[in-house]
Amino acid sequence: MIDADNFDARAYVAAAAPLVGLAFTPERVEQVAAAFALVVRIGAPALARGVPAEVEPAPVFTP
Amino acid sequence: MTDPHLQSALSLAAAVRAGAISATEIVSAMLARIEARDAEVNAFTEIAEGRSLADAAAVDAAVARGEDPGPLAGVPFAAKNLFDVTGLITLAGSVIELRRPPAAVDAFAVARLRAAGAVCVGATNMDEYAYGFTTENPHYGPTRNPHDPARIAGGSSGGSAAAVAAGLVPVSLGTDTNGSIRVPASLNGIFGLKPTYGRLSRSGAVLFVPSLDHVGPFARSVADLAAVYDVLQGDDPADPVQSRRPPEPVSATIGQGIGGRRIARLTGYFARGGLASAQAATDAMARALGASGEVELPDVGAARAAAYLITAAEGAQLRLPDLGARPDDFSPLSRDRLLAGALIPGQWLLHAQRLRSLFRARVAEVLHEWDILVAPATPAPATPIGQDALEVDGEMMPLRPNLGLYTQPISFIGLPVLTVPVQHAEGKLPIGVQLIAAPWREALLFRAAAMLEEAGICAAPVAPAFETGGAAE
Repeated sequence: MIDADNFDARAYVAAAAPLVGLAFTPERVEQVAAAFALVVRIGAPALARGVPAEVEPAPVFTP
Repeated sequence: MTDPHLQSALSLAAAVRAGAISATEIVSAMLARIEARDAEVNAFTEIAEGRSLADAAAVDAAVARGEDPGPLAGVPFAAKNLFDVTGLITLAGSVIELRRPPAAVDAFAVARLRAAGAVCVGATNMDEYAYGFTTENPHYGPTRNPHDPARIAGGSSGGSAAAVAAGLVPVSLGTDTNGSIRVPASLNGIFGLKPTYGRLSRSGAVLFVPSLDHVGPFARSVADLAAVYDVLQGDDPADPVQSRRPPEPVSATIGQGIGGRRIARLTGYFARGGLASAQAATDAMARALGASGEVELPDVGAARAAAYLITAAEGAQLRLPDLGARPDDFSPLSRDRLLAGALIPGQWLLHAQRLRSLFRARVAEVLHEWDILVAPATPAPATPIGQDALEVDGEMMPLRPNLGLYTQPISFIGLPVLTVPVQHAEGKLPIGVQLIAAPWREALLFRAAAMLEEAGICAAPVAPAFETGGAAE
């Protein structure tokens, strides 16, 4: 689903931040890009795991 | 009564109910002890002296009138500082929340304990907004481990766990999103319960990741843990995710044993990535419970990764206004992780939630075959404050996120877990083991833990350095 080694976190962070109302200095972009790269790396096993179409997508959860 | 700080909550309550000692005497002694010894562990961020003495006086007045003062009459307790405690500012480990007024109403869990006669003596240290496993809080200082003050107490409920292990209170309240009760219970060598998701109300607590947040207690004995858990149960319409199941008290059945139950040791993912002491403690608990098999859960790595994505995204969502308005008021570590979480694509979050449903169904199949699963709680005993990495099998892994290696996949699907302590797992340091069951089977976990305690295999005494001293004697 995602190539964690080649993903351009800096470009993504700079582009996505205004979409959620965040304004970053260039220094902050670097810091958040490093944190986002870690999100990508740690989250990759989940994103690589396929989920059958019938699995419920609604955010309702009863254990 | 001598040494009230060494007594169990239930023995203190019994003495108050019998008129052998007053709640005021107990609370005064514990306040003095906190004053004398807390600086060694930095468990508390606020002391509720006036409130606690007033509540103790109310318990004493009830006893004097011949009324029932409650099952926890006069028992001092502490609450992680994300719970609303009337009169205290709910810090949630931050400086941002210092701008808020003091809480006007107790959180549901605090109110339940108070109604049972327990007395809140203060609020405890934690990781900022519960985002961490170490309680190395940059604003309020690190909480230190009572077994070795140079080491972490774990987190994010580190102050609540250290306060119990140091004998500053017999019981306390924490929250667990990815391991924040189980990790500090393990590192402080005490009992901790993360109930089934939705079992206990979270209202009046600052949420971190609503899809994963749980409330639960710490204690130094199984009976105390059960007594607090029983009091905490109860319907609260203010928590929209709380189950409408009626309370299922456990105290009366903890001595019934686990005869005939099917116990398995979790292997695979849960047998890798930790130090030998963590694995040895788990093996010992599995043997003591009569484990008859080993089982490997499917897709654990993907499940943990999905929990990480949900945590990052939901954690950021709740903090987004402050992240935009005052990002530099967050600690740098929290700030950058939260800002990154705010940018997670919606598709990733939906995918992670669907993985949660899938993993829950797969593990439910395993729990049809087994009644209790046994797994390590942490990959290592308490590490030195400031340490960044842990060497396992010759390889270095980042320490802070991996303290939740074994807890995160279990809370991801809301299963109940009781963490039992093994003392002297590595020198003087304890470590915890997770006992895991199907949803709503807390009573079975309490029976297993009580069996281990009765057999002398698990125990949670006050840390040796804190057995004496202070003003409580």
